[in-house]
Amino acid sequence: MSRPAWRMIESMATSVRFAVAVSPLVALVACGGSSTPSGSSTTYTPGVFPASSSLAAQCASPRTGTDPTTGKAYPDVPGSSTTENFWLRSWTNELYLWYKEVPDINPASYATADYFNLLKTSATTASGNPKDKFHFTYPTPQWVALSQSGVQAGYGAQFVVLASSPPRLVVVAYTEPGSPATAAGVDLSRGAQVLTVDGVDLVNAGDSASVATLNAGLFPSATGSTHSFSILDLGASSGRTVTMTSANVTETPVQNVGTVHSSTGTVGYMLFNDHIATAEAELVSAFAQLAAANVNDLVLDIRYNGGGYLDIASEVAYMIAGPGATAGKTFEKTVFNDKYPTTDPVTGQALTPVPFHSTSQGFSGPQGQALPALNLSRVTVLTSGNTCSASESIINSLRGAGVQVVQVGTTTCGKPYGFYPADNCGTTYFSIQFQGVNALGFGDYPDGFSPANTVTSPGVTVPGCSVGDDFTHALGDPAEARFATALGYLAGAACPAAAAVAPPPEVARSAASADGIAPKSPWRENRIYRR
Amino acid sequence: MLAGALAFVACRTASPDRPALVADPTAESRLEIRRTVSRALNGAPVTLADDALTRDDTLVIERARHPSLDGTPSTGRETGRPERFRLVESGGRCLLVHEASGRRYPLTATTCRPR
Repeated sequence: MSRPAWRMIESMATSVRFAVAVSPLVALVACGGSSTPSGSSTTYTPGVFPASSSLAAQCASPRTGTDPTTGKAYPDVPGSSTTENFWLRSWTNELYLWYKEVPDINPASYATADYFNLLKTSATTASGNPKDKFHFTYPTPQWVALSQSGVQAGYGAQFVVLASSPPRLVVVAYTEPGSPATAAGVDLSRGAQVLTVDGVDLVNAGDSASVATLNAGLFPSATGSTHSFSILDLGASSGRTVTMTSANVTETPVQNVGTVHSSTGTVGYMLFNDHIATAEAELVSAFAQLAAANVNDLVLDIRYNGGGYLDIASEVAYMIAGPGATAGKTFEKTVFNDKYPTTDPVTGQALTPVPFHSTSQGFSGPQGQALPALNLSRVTVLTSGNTCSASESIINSLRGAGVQVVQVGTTTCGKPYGFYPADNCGTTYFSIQFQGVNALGFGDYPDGFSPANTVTSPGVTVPGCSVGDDFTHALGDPAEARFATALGYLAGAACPAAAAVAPPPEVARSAASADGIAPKSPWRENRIYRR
Repeated sequence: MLAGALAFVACRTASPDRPALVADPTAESRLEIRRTVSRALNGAPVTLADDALTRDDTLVIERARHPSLDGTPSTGRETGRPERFRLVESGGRCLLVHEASGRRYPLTATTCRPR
């Protein structure tokens, strides 16, 4: 995904600001280095890395007041962007998963934001993609913000961006019950196309002001923001105008649970969109419902599920496979760099594998209650590039436990990695620190999982069919392309012609067989609109 | 405040906790609950639904969702646990209980009803 233009502009401004601050420090280092307030030298010696703890919180702009993550005063003391860089250098050397592949660069030579961007591997995967696709920062005040589980400002419509530059195409992927998007008179539903926002032509507008209007309208960052939209419903020949006001919408992460009777028996279906805390209780209810229906197959729709709590992924995997396949087996084991073969370097605790949880973990319901189980030896997952992280762990862990996984959709995002985000001086850094591996010790899927007949740049191939998203049918409708293909595949049918990664415009225009990006948050930093 | 809390604890033996829901949410009660949760969590900003604690006596708080550059959640592989609060009624008073710490926060602008 390309970085949005406005973000590039922001980066340039940041660089300029830091460059001004760095100048006197460069001169200082040239005179022989200096000692930090904690006594650690900030003289650059290649290959020598002082403990990051001796370099932490020495800031160009020290914060004052109480740190909401600790309840104590911020530890910040006066420093510089160079001391912040020295901390980054040591912290990366200690914890980055591929620290041996990071170039050792003089911290005095760069602005902090630019320096951090250099502290990662430049290696590529088998497909030619960057090995590290997840190296980024957040302003700490934003990162520490909390919310009621599943609650965020918005309309309750998950928009999918199928084309982010003109001619753009944005459609509704799904909606949340009881939200502004499903209110009487609005009634947005899957496949509805957004034509205009506040009078701005979404498809063709190209100027900065128009792009700003589109972003502000589609992705409000706060409640009470009212915008008008021209919407083209599926099958309609002309648009209609709706007005929505953003509100704190509560997500329903498990939807459309049901069964389909096919030639292979009773097939269960559920849409699972997010591994948030409230999902636990909904998942338990959904699996109990399907267990009571005696399903002999399950189609788990995780095409829009970007991950979340790993323990919830473990619960899902258990509820699919049951105790017979999972008892005593590892769901996922966490692997850090070779400096920490047995201990989590951040928590200090011994590294113990996550098991397949057979009891509830107490995220949104009682802890310790036996989970229902379908006891299946096979599961079909519906996927896309938005299927990420903990969702991929479900696939990988079940394969590791000997459960057959069938994949229908497109290649998953390829994120077998995790972080302990770290704050220093008001910026929270995300640098890959660990990898999850299954019971067989496998966790190398940086290019994702791909259905076996995927045409372009497949990741780890999984039995199944490459099928684009189908916005012309509801999720859970047996006629929806991915679900229909899954049902056919389970019954022994051959795959349809494989979907290409990028559908031709005329296909995307029909809102069928396309795939796209489903931004999961209102934060403006991650908008993908471009001029 | 501490003295009040101690006095309240003394009353607990005679008035056991009963699970409760917010009876008639108002702007004032929503603000009080949000501020209480934030205070219990060291002052971090918190977003709550308008109907928080009106249908369930448990309030689950987790990190707000932040996407990474590709639009997917920034971590996606969370190994921690959310914070949980329970709304209870005890001795005619409405209290928010932080499960992890056991701390009890009296609510004065919020009306409770039994769950």
